[in-house]
Amino acid sequence: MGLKEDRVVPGREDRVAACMAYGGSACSIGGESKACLKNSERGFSQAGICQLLPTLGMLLTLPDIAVIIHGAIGCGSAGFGMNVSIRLHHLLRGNPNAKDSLWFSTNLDEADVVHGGEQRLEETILTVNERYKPKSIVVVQTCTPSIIGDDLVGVVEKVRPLVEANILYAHCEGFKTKVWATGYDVAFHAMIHGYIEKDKEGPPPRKAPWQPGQRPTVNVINLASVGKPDEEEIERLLNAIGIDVTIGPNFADREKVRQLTQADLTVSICPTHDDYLVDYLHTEYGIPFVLKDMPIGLENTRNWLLDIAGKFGLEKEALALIEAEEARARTAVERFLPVLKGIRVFLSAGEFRALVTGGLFQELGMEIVGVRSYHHDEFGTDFYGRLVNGQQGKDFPVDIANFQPFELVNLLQQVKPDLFAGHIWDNAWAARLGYPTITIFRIFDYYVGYRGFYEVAKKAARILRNHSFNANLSRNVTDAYRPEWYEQNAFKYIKSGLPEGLQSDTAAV
Amino acid sequence: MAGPIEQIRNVCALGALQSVVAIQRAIPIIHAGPGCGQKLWSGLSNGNGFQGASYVGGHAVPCSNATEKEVVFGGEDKLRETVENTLKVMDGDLFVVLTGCTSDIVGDDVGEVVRSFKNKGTPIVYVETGGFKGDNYFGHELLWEAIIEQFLEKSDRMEQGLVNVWSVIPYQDPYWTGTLHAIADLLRSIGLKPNIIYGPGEGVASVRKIPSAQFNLLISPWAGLKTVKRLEEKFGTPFFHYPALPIGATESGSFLRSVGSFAGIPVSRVEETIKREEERYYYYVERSADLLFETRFLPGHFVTIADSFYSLGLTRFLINDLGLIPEVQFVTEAVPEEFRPLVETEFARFDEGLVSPVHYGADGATVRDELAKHKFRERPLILGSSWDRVIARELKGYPLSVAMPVSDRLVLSRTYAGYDGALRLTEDIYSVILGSFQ
Ligand code: SF4
Ligand code: SF4
Repeated sequence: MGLKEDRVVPGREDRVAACMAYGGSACSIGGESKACLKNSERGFSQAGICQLLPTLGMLLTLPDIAVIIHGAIGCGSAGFGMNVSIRLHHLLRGNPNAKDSLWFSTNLDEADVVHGGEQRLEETILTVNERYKPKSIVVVQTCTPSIIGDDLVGVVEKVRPLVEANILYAHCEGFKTKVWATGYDVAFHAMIHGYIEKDKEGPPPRKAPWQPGQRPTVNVINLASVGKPDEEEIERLLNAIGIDVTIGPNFADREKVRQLTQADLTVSICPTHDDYLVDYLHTEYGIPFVLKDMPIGLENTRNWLLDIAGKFGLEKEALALIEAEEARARTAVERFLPVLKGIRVFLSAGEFRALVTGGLFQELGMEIVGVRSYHHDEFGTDFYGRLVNGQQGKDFPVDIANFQPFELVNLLQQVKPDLFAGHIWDNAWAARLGYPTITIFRIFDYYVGYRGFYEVAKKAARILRNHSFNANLSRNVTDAYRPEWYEQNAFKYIKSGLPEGLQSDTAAV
Repeated sequence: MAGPIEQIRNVCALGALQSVVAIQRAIPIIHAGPGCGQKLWSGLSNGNGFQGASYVGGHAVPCSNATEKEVVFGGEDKLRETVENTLKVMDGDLFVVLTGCTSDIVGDDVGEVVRSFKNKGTPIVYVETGGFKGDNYFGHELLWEAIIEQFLEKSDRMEQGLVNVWSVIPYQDPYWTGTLHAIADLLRSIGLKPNIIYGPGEGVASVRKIPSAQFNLLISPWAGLKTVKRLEEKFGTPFFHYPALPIGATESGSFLRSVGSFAGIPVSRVEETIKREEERYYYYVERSADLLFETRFLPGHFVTIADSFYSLGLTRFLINDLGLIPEVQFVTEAVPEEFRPLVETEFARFDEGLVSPVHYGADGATVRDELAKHKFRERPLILGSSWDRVIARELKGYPLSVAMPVSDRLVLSRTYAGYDGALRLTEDIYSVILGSFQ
């Protein structure tokens, strides 16, 4: 199993035993068995997202592409909205004239479900190539054609020699995996196959390993949720200690993606996001990697920088930079500290992001009173313990949930935080209950490194000064849950993955 | 046979879930893959005027989130469990199970599951809206067929003056809330009692009232005809069909006259209302004349790229009231064959010199190819979706986003319907023109 051999990317429940349903606490999650976590599920659930979304979120960043959603028309509905957010990214990158992606749906109907949609797909790829001549064509497989047995890879390989565009294909049927973060792997798979393995020129040759004395070049794997300001901060810090940076593969073109194979080190800014690609570059190109931390908050940024510097004997330079930057950052946030001191925060986001941001808040004198993570995998395990240690052993509830706002609102009403820091589509639920909210990421703002440390502090202090919108909202809207629901355990509908008979009550808030 | 579509402007049948969200305290339950709800919501709501999740939309919608297990072994058990627990957690007055492609292909017996709850007295219906069966215009009618058959009960008494209003499709039309409100105001102005099913109001109680109405009013070129006909068959309620969304004085007046005469409202009452409305309306129109005619900021010909509700409604207003000249009209939904003649007749109701070509089922490719054939001597006015801002820019046109997807505007209560709506539209059009060089 590996990125090069996989025709279809394995679901993360199988590849990394990821867990989608858990209710417990920061102290308990580390002690759970992996198999049990992986198999737990919900007896009641609300609409989540499927892997198609993160897959497209990444592939749409590629320049000059046409996207063909193979399926019935609905699966492509997110199209325009996604175009808009990518356009925003481009604007922030000083690229106002970037072309929108071209969007197509094969629009399978009842007759196609009976007769198969392969021919329609083939014709669509050929027509799109012929009429629009995009640099790349991204073909996306959804549930319907998958269930009726359309052979996507067969069609793509048949037409590949006939079209000039690089074809990237992505199997991202929602029903195939519960862990939508699999979509990141699917997108990496598509890019690597489309631009490296199956590229007309074939894969680039291996580069000679780094020798002491050379100025190193490292890959920094970017994320669609990390904006240009954060990329700039990362580049600034690494350049300052004598390291050159190639940022990709999001927003990269074919050449830049291929260039990733020529680095001296691959650096992840979110291990949960990147491990599949990092592993490919390591296995196929022998590129070592750093895959442990996310540079959010002072301590995490310190560890992250030192890890990278250590690979090239640059620890001294790194330490000097860290000391200077930390001192500056600490002075800069001083004026916010009185407002932030003792503020109880609830975090909600992808696991890694939520946990490292928790570290940042603790450094500002705040306390973590709850975490809701979209899924759980081993990269996060240690960080729960670290957060508990960071606040004199004070434990807090943990909810592993693919959205599921019913659990979130229940938890919030029990925990009653002073501040909620959430991902898109989370903040509004918390705001309806009257809690002050800040976004845990937004592509316009700084979150990473020292700039991020300062900006997050400033943002938190700002919302605590005036959250009248949220307060008014909570006084005037009702929510869709029965009053009894708030009296129940938030984790009531989580079924542990233990075999029948061994079920224990995992819900220990 | 359908073909591939470039730049979708409507969604699949399961999109009807947003029509359920639009009824206060009605709760959709999706039986589908894990991503369908989010895709449809982000297309119809968030990506379309930022309409938000509301009471129970977005990620709050109960969903069976079908996995491989449900696809291979069937999803009935999972659905049963989801419904059972929905009733314990969610607070609603009507529950609607909607299926997606996975369930419909696998062939889950959803009816059986839902009936077992219904038999215990739960207000619940189901509708099979697998996306491959059709678009959301189709799904919306399937939804109503289901509610009529499975939920509505005959009423023993007809409430004189009560009118059920059927018109634009919630969320597909980003302006639906304001539009239904404007229609309600028009009806009230001549003494009728509108029953508005969607948006702020009585919620499921308004659904229950449907069978006791004096008549059903359908304001739509074709979508909804099935529903009102079915209501007539089942409850004997007559319907009145007005094909164009009334925008501006000409259409609003004609609408009030015809609906008034159908409802048996005295002519004098209707005429008095029209006179009062027009006096007010023309007070403002008069003020606009100086800008329109003295400063010569007139757009060139206009193009509409919207569904038939808006394509027809806007065209009527722009020709009859604003005095503009049409270039070409695009109707973005696939109007079913049986209704095509009806819609075509409505588009042909202009003086000969003012009839423009109409393209049905138009997608991005149709728009691009067709507009490439036209020569615009002056900057055209392009009323379309946010997709069309790109071509509008290429043609140096004046774009105004009026149809899904609308991503460049926040839409709350704005509407273009009725008298005030037309004033809003005039303001918006000229704000685009004036803003284009400042
Ligand atoms: S779950 Fe399947 S059918 Fe639903 S949106 Fe995702 S890919 Fe499409
Ligand atoms: S087309 Fe089918 S699979 Fe896709 S969103 Fe609609 S119902 Fe779901």
